[in-house]
Amino acid sequence: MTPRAITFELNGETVVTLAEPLESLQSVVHDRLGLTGTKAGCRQGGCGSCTVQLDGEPVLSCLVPVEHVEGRSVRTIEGLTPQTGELSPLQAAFHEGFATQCGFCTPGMITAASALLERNPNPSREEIIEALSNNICRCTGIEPIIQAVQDAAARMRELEEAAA
Amino acid sequence: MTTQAKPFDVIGRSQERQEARGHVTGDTIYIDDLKFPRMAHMKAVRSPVPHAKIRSVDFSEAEKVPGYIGHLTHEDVPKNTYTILTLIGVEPDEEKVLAEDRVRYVGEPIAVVVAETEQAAFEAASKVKLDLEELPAVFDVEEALKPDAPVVTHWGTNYFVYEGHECRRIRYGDTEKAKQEADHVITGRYQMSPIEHAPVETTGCIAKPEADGRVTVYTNTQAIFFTLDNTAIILQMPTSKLRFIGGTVGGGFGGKVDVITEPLATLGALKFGRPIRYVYTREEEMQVSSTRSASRIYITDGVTSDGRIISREVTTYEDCGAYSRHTPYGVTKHAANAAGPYTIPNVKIDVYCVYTNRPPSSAMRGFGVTEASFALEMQMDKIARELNIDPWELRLRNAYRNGDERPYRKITQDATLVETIQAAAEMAGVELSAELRAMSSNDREGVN
Amino acid sequence: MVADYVLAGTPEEAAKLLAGDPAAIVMGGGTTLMPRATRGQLSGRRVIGLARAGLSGITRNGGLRIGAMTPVRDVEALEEPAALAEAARAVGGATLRGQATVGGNVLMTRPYGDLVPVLLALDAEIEVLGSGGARRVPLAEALKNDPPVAAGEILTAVIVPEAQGAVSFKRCSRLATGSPSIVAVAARVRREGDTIAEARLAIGAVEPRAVRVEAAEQALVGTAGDEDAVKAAVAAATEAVNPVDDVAASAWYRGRMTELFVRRALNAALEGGRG
Repeated sequence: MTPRAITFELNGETVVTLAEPLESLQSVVHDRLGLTGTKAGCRQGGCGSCTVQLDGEPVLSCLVPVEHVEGRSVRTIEGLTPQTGELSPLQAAFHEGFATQCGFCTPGMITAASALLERNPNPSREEIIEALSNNICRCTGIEPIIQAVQDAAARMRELEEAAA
Repeated sequence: MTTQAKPFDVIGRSQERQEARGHVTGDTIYIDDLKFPRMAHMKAVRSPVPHAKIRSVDFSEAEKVPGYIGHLTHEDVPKNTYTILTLIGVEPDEEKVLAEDRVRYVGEPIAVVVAETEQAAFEAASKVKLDLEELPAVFDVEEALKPDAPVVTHWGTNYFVYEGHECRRIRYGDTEKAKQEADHVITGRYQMSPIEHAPVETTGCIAKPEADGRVTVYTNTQAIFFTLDNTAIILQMPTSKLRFIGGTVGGGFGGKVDVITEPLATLGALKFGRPIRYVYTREEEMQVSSTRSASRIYITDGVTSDGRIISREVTTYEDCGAYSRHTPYGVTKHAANAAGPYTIPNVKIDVYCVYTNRPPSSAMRGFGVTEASFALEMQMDKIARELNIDPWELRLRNAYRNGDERPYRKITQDATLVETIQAAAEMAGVELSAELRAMSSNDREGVN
Repeated sequence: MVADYVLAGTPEEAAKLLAGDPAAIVMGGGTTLMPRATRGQLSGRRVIGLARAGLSGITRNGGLRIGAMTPVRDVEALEEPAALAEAARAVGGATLRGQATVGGNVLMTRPYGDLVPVLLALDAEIEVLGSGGARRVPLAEALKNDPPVAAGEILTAVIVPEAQGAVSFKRCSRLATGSPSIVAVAARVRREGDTIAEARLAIGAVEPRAVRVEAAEQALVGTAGDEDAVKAAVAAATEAVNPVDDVAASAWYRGRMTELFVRRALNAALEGGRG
């Protein structure tokens, strides 16, 4: 009944927050910590608009009890946006490729896609579709999103090679 | 003197969508992202059955839930009986903001409760006791038109009355005679299910009472002015007292034009003096919010052996659900389009707007017309198969041309169907004959 | 909101907590409980969590020992038995498979439970822990009870014997991924020479829980798996189940798909294929 304190790393910084027992990570991030990019489209793990990265793995945060992130690292769309004001290659690809319309699924899509590209810098079309299989978009018909992920992956590989 | 054309800044150039940047960074603010001090939460108490008389509603257990603030019933609503198209003179007023003595579909709102937290509002709503006397219900459009069907509407028939008729009608030529003269009579029965818009963001708003007596409503409606005006009518208050802020919609597709949450949230803001958040759950969005209307379409065509459609009869039953919303209007659009983009000398169209005990259908992406397109084009393919005629040829021969009279007596202007079909064939890699390629919207070469 | 959420440090601690409060709910991955908690449906209840009880992990020793809290994604990554990995891929979407657990999948009723037909075909057992100690039960036996795990007991592991013969998994769904099964079928065939010495056929998603169809299995044993035997097995299978009607598919459609997918699963297993 009494809210408990939970400590975890959020977008690279340690945060301490109160939470009710079994409060979802989505509720804590969105309602208590004010990072509104992580949406509650369904609160049953069906739409993916609540996707965040937990220790680098994509998770549906509406299904994660906040107790499970104690001492762990959480990254949201805000933490995937460069501080410089530039857009990340993935964000730029979504923006330029019209892979976002109403925008509600977009943070979840980018977060899931970002996790994919971290572990697989050269995903096939099937691998992209599989990685986004828990993210629903009702506007774009998903095709521009798949294209944007492919474009971003290519751009990121270019940048890697240039840096090498 | 020669002038050099300046390069265009906008035309022919890809433009950045001005709001997309916020979408990809997570900065765009939607209704659920807004919070106000002392904001309370509203949840609806809904009918669990499709058709019933309401005997009583008991809030005593709900009132005991910690965080309970209050509730609203139909008695609190100044103009409880309305219809959203009253603004353009559509009659009659028939839908209830909150049910009075009757419920007509599963999910119909009977009351709303307000509480300090969303969880408390859920709990309070679940503890409201309903005493309902279930009535026979009807779910099928043709069943609903039978003489002994349960009556859904308050005016006693299960159809919308169009200028004295029980359906929207178009009469052109003499289909009875033409059917006799035809070489083939080809029929089809086509059925579409109701389709849920399922936007990723659910419907909702926050109504905030201001110190000057006005109410600011933050809403994700697709139709701000329309919703403001209807809210003013329902609450019997001047529009000048309402300020609606919105335009950021997390998916609409026609599903956020029904004026659902704003009137009650505004009423709650005025009654309880606090910002009221009323946002649909995913369950409400999928089960209660309006859908595209289901249609059952019967087509009977009289066709000559060389593929001319000389007679077309269409009888459509559109499932309006329990209340009108946009469906009577959709039915009119359907009727106008039910002969298809073809020139047919004899046409008979009857489109019924049928009331059933199902959640009300309403607007969705070309509603009324898209269902007609589906059925008609399936029918065209059926004709092509049965007559062993190329489906491209069948359409080109029957396509309307400039100057042709439509069944509703307007003269066709700016027709480009023939050219569009030709372009589509080229894109699809389909080789059309020279004769078909030579066809034009401006003449009837190769048609008569 | 829930009264309390306690994360047990060991399975024994979880069993003890449960014994001390029989009204408490045990939570594994939380994929089906969290939506209820969020909607205030677990108000006042005490929840015991297994996320830190050390129940995750797969060890191989001929067969497999899969900890109940193992994410379904880890089963997806297995190479053998391929049919089990395929069944894991049928569970939810990619993200969800990192959160859904094997134990949850075994215990939930339809539309969940895609692992169960393959586990039944492999003669899997479950390990449960209660205040009386640990015990092992064949999964097929356990599923005859509702719930399959007795009050006061916790599912700790699924034991999968090494597959004897060829195993297949075929499922019918509206979408290729992220879509519930309309029918899910697993088959296993072990031959001695040309003759089928052992057969298993399990059908899931048509009834509340997956079932083995012994009549269909018997129709195959002792035969060479010819067309007549397959026909008889398919008929027995279709006869044995009573498909449900729901939003994903009508009972009629489920029945038709059962026939088709049983045949596909049997053909795949008979060809000694990987399903």
